[in-house]
Amino acid sequence: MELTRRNFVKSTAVAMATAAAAGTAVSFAGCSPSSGGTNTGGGGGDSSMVADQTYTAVCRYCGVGCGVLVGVKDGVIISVEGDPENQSNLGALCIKGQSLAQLLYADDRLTVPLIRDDKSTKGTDGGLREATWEEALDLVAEKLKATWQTDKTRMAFWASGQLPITDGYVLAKFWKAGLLSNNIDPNARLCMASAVVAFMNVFSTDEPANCYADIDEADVFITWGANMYEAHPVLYQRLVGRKNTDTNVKHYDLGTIKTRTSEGAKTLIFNPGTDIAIANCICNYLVANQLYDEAFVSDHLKFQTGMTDLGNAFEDGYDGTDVIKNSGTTAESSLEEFASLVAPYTFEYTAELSGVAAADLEELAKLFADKSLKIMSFWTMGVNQHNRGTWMNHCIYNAHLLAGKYAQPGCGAFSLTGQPTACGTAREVGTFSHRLPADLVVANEAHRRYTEAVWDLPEGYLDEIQANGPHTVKIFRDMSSGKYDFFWSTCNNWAVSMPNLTRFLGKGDKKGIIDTFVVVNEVYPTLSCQYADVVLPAAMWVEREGQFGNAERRTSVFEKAVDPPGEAKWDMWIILQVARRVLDGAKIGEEDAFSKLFGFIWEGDDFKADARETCKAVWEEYRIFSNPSMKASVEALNTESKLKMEAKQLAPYDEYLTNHGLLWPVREVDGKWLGTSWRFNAGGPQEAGYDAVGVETYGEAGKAGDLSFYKTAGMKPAVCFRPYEPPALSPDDEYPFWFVTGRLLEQWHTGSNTTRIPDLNNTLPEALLYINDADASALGIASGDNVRVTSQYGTFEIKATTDKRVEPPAGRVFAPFFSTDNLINLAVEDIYCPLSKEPDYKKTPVKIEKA
Amino acid sequence: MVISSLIVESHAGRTAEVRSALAGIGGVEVHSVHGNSIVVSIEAASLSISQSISAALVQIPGVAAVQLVYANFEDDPQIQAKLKGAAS
Ligand code: SF4
Repeated sequence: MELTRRNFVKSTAVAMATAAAAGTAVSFAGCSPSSGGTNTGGGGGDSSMVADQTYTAVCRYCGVGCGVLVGVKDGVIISVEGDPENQSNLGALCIKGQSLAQLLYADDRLTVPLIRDDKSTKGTDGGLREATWEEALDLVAEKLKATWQTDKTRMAFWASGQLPITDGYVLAKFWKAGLLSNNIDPNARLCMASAVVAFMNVFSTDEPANCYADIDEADVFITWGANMYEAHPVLYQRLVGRKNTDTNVKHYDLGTIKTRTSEGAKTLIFNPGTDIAIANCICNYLVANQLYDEAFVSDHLKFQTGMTDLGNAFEDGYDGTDVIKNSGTTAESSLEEFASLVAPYTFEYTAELSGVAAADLEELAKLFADKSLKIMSFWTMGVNQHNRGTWMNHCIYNAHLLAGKYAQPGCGAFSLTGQPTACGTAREVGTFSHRLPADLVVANEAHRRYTEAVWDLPEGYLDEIQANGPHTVKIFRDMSSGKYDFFWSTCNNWAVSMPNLTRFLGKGDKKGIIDTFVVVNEVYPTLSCQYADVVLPAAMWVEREGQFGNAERRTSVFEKAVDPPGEAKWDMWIILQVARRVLDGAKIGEEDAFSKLFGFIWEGDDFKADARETCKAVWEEYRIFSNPSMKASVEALNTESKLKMEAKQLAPYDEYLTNHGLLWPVREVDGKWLGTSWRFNAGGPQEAGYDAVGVETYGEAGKAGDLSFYKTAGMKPAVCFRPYEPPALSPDDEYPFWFVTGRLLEQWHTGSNTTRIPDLNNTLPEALLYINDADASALGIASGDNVRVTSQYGTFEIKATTDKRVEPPAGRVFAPFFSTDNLINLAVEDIYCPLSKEPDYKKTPVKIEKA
Repeated sequence: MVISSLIVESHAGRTAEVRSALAGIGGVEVHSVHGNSIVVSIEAASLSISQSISAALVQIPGVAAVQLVYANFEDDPQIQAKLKGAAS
């Protein structure tokens, strides 16, 4: 770069940052749609200084779902900036987002299909040879078809919260309607399932009622088992921005370890599993002292009790036991009964159980009792990856609902997600083993009829899939017991992310994963590829068009900006190429099955149209689910079965491009499509982000807080009592430490992408075991020493550190999982929540020895 | 040169400490301070070095977040190689 140009670029860059810094607090604090542009000084326009073209996109890393602008020159990405017009991030990006341009360009991209001829090479670096697409697709289709026709309980697809929405929709349609199989589940089972089950139990509809802009108005933040500094950086930045603009704003960080999120917060460290007792303690204070919101309770809430003494998933047959088959059953209850059930959770008892001081618990409870305070609770994996994860989600809602602090500007309970489209794809299009698109479930007859109407299937066609399919852990447990022949995954890296890898990677007797025919769609070689029989090279991120749905219900489109390298292909193309081979000769009624399901986008051996038009066509079909008026037969069923499908209403495709993302439900008002910032809240017009149309259509006006929970039976969400039950395993003489796992800022998604970005990887090159100073010296371990960590499940080696990035208290240790050199999940227990089947990655008893 | 501008957001009461830590890092220039927001630029020979620096900023005690505002990496050697490849 010439000096004059360099000076020009630099002064422009600094001017933009200065304008943004002057405006940051304002734009984040006020968060009006028009204030966003100040945050990055309109970076999008400036990238045209050098780029031939700028495309709108969404970061592909975390569930915050930041909008980005991608500058391209000569077919190469040369700049990535925050998109000031995307209201989820208002132009801000964390360091992972800043590095997105490097994501596509590491040297080891997979560019040709690979086939393994000799299964004995599984688990090693070698054994894969190059193949043509024709050969690879034929082989995958032949294996899938053979399994499908012989015994379709022996096949499974593992989908992903990173697979774009239209790809996920096409996949779900292929698997559920084409193959008539529920043997499909997403990796979101490992991170969001507890949140999903609680949303459905309490509100009869998935996903939060609030939005990110609430951060700018909250008086109190409570993070429950959430390290937002590392895992949701742009939201954490917004939270700190809010605190910095008003010193009265408080933050309470509740967790089992101290993290960077604890900085500047009142940190309450509790004993593993006792968060349920803490939430119950808050509820006890509210009801025992009549400090709950009486109008909110009488207008909106009902009370329930649930099954208790659920035990834990030690045995493979756990799901089949009577206690677990009935674990979701609830009974109607009353405020009085609820009060008596939470009565034991006094400050003193809870303090003793949890280790949090009684005075701190009282301080926390009094916040909920203060009617003037707006409280935002945020939580992630500490709550969800919990042997009582669904219960703990319930307990947070219990406290917020009793206090009347939900679904209001600046005030609510917000479940964060980890992946960019865990909400949009894994949850919304039906890739769970019990689900159909748009919150519908296979077990409900009316839901099956509705889906058949959208997909134009004969009535009763989906009855064959009315029984729920296997959840993720069951698939892996069964695979390791030799019960699977075919397994296919995309956008995930199960060989690193599953718990109890000692069992699931077939260590020892080489069962399961070695014998199963494994297909992996991938962009870079991962550990999962080492167990694959076929690796299919996929186009990634902006090498194809796609859509993500983030944690605040914002759906955004990312445009295709560049071509994929070599022969890498769009996942949807791969799925349909296999589908057309497998369904060859199959009929639905008298019609060719593949044409009936996918003839609207596919002809011969390729898509009918380009990526944009294909995505649009898929979206328009998917949109019928939440816009029943688009098809008469669907509309009739929506009315007849009172499904209220417009509760998740989506807009026409182009609206997402024009608006840089929209929060569902999206309503058409006077010819404009408007998003919804606060579901169930009719406190203002739709234009201002309230759910005016939803409440008017399905709800009741004039209730407390102008809310109406119109999707819930009787419009009354349940406050369901959930008792404290101890962790599945606790430390003992042999395994004296709690082992907590999690993620750190630089490495995401098992490191499958971030390890390719030199800067991220150089900053966090290896996984370390964070250990308390006192524990380290008692064990004779110095920072940097190699240690062996062993549980009753397995063992691994790792370098110990007493660095304070993560500060576990005595008796607890922490490590992130992303590194194939330190495969920490070899030792993690595979115990799961009995309701959601989500594994608990946070509480494995281990011993630590100097290696 | 790869040139980027960033805002380093510090926790309340720790801005001065963060600012002086930033001033000691090679390639980083502090331009102005707005409340708890510190405007910095980074100049580095490659995107990789630039981002290593910005990644390091996140780990400075008292830093709540680092936000990239603008990055121009048309001079990055890797990008240049790709561009040359695209042109040929
Ligand atoms: S990783 Fe998350 S917070 Fe960071 S830029 Fe991407 S979406 Fe935003």
